[in-house]
Order: sequence, then C-alpha cells, then structure tokens
Amino acid sequence: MRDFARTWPLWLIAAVFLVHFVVPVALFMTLGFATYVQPGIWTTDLTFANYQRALTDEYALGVLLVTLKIGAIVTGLCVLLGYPVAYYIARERGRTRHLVLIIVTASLFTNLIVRTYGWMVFLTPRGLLNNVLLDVGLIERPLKLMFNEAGVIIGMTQINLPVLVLVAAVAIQGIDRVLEQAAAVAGAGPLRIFTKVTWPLSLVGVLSGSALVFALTISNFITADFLGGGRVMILGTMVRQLMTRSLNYPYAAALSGLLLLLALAAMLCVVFVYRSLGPSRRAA
Amino acid sequence: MARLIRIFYLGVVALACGYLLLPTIVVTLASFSPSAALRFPPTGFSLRWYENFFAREEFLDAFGLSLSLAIAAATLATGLALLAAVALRESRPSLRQAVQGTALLPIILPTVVYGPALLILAAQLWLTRSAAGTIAVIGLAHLVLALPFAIQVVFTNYDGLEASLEEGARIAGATRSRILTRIIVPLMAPGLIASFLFAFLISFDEPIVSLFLARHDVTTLPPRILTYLRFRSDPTVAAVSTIMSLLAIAAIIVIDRLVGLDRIFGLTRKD
Repeated sequence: MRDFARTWPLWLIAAVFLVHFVVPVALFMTLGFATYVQPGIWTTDLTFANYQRALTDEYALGVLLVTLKIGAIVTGLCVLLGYPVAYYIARERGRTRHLVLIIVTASLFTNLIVRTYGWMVFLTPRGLLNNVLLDVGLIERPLKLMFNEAGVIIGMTQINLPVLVLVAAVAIQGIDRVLEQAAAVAGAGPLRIFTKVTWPLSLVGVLSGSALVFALTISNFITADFLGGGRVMILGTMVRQLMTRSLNYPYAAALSGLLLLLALAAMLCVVFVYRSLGPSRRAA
Repeated sequence: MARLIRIFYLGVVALACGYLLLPTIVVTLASFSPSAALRFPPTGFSLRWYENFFAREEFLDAFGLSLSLAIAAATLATGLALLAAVALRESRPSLRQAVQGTALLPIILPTVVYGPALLILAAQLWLTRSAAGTIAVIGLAHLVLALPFAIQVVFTNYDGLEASLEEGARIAGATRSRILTRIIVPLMAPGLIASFLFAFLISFDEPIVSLFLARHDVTTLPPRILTYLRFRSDPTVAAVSTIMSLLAIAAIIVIDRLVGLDRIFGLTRKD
C-alpha cells in the first residue's frame, strides 16, 4: 500500500463502495429510528416506534408470518430439489454434467422479471398448463395455480434454486474423497457413506446456500406481487409499498432493518452449526 | 436397492433441470404465438409481438439506456478489477481474500434494502431532480453490483498467469503500463471478456435498484417491462423476454468456452 501510483485502483473501488453502498445503507438503517411526520417527511428525533409498530401491528405481523412461511417452504424445497443437482455437478463427469452446470448458471442469469413472467404465462387460469390440461380433458375447470401462495412458491423456488445448487456444489466438491473411500473400506454401504460422511460434511455449504435463498426469497416483491396477484404480501412488498405509495420512509427503513435481521439470523445459524460440528468434521 | 436410489437421484436431477428451463421455454413459445392466448401445440407462428416491441418508443428508449449503462458498468468493473488484481500482485494472500470477500457484500445484501437506501440519500442530495443525476446514481449502483463478479472472474484468471512473464518484461526494462497493455491484457483476454459479459448481464438485468430510482424519463428495460405488464397482458413482454434470455444463455456459453464455469465457481477438480 506504499505507492499510490500503483494502488489507486484499490482506493477507487473502496471509495465507490463506501460512498455508493456503505454510507447509503448505513444512513437508511438509522432512518428506521427517525420520527415519521407525514408522507415524505420525518424528523431526526430518535424513536423505537417504527420497530415497535413492525412487531406489534396486526397487519405487519400477518405479513411477517407469511414471509417466514414462504421463506421456509421455498428454502426447504430448494434444498430438496437442489442438493441432488449439486451432488451431480460436484461428482459426475462428462457432457451431461457440463450441460447441467450451464443450465443452472444460465437460469441464474436469466432476468428475474423474465422468469416471473414465464411462470405467469404457464400458471395463469387461461395459461399454457391449464389450456393443455383442459384440451386433454384431465380437468374441467382451470386450476387455481396463481394469485395465491402456491403460485408464489412455485415461482420463487425455481428462481432461487440455482443459488442453492451452486453454493452446495462447491461444498460437496470440497469434501476430501479419501474420507468416503475410508468409510467404504470400513464396510459402509453407499447410503451410509452419504448420511454419515458426505451429507454432514456438506451441511455448512447447504446452510450457507439456504441462508442466501431465504434472504432472496423474503425480499423478492416482484415475484410475490405478480404470481400472488397482490394477495400475497411479504416483507419486501411492504417495503416497496411504503417507499412508493405511503411514503412512510422511517417505517420502510425499520421493515428493511427487520428484513436484514432475519437474513442475518439465517446466516448466524450457519455459524452456529459450523461451530457445533467441531474442528474434526469441518470441510476444507 | 442402490440402483433404485441412483435412478431416483438421476430422475430428480432431470426434473430439476426441466423445472429450471420451463419459464424460458414457455416465454419463447409465447413470443411466437399468433394469439394472446397460449396453446400447446402452437397454433401458428408470428413475429407480431417482436414487431410491437420494436415499434414502441418507450421500450426502445429503455433498451438503449440499459445497453449504455451495461456497457459502461461492465467496462468500468472489468477495468477496475484488472487494475486491482495487478496492484495486489505482491501483497499478502489474506489481503486479496479480504478484498474479494468484501466485494461480495453488495450481492449478499438484498436489493430491496439497497434500492430504497440509495433513493433516499440521492433524493436528499437532490441528485434525483435531474435525469443525468438519476442515470449516474443507477449506473454507479450497477457498478457496485457488477464488481463482485468482475473481481471474482478477473482475480481467478490473473492467478493463472505466469508471474515470470511479467518479471521478465520488467527485467527487460518494460514500463508498468507497457507490461499491462502488451503482456497482461492480451494473455488475459478470455478472462477479461468473461468478466465483461458477467458484469454486462448483471447491469442489463438489474430490476430492483433501477425500479426504485426510475423516473418517467429515465427508465431501464426491466422496470419498463414491469410497468407494461401491470397494464397489459399480451405477449410483447414474451418477445423481449426471449431476446433477454437468449442474450443470457449466449453470454454464459461464451464465458464457459473462454474461461470455464468450473473455474469461476471454484468447481475445478483436484483429483
């Protein structure tokens, strides 16, 4: 760090991060303790009223409950469906495996709105799935797959699946194969090797991925809005509405703070599990 | 039994891949559908939704702005990442890991928090009063969000570069800028292009921050699509969605060919 002529790019990056990321987010978090006066206006009198309202108001609590429920279900589904894919990417070889990796990455980088829209077209009462099912004669009336929690969960699971797959794949990849071979030599069957060696050693990766998926799910108001038809409110939706409609910025900031706390709690779970595994069982 | 488990496992993988591809396939089908109602098998073939997209000024303006911002953000992100990698050449690995780790923060923080935070501060500073100010705020935000990917790709790629080449050039008396332009950039071209494409996609697709900061005269493509969707439900959105998906798939395949997705994600096998 001695000569500035060489290190200025680092300082520039640091400056951009500080000015355009750290400072705005930090200020926004303090705004959660400001006093709301009227739409768009607040004073700097410090108060806990916004947080208190977020945790006692019946409407906010209802939203919080739905948020936790959808976040938990989506995260669970992502683990169930994503772990085998992660295992496949980490352990198989050849062309199919490469294709799977490309599919996962490409869908991660497909626009959020595009994916949400794809699900709308597929699930809507007069959409692709219902039309096909009606044509075939499997159903007589269109199924209600959208404008409810089920639709939001179907869409959000697909949207966040790649995140879990990639994080978990890296964790499984990092496991020393010698451990599995040793278990096999000791006479353990494939299933036992998986439950006693592979799964516990990849657990931290799975949980890190889950924490990310959870944070992404509870913030994704776009998918919740379009697939929920305005009927499924999550924390992200509430922040969005407070910011653009009611203009109650301090309350929006407090709810954002709550959202961050939830995401942070999910991350802390990972640390806790990591600690409890003890040094001998930690994956490299 | 073991065989049954394997069949089940491969079945789940196939199912998951189908599930991941489904929205993109549906969107593509819808974009070529002659009618607004979607049927399967398709009842015909039409390009009317593409025509409608390219005939609408609101979409074209947004497309142009998104394209300019993405090119600017991707160029800056890649350039800065490269210069940072070079600057960190001789420093401790722990410092480089710290830089890489800190750079991840913006993609971990939910954008539903970042967007409002930027909007409030920018509004307080009167930056959102002008179109130029708004564009600058959105552009810098895209840079912040794209940098983690650029840093990851460029750093990984720079590590693979033979340090002796740089050393030799320096001993031969080449200046720092000459080493950069004549040795590092040509040798790292694949990595730099990959970084550019990643950063480009991040900026071009960024929906949330842009949505919070959008003004009637400054709107990137994703928020524009959202506005359109709110009032109409014809497949014009499917047409633009297909274009955007193709762009993403093409970029990912090019990145994979140039540097390999395995290397970028840290999935290279040790055995």
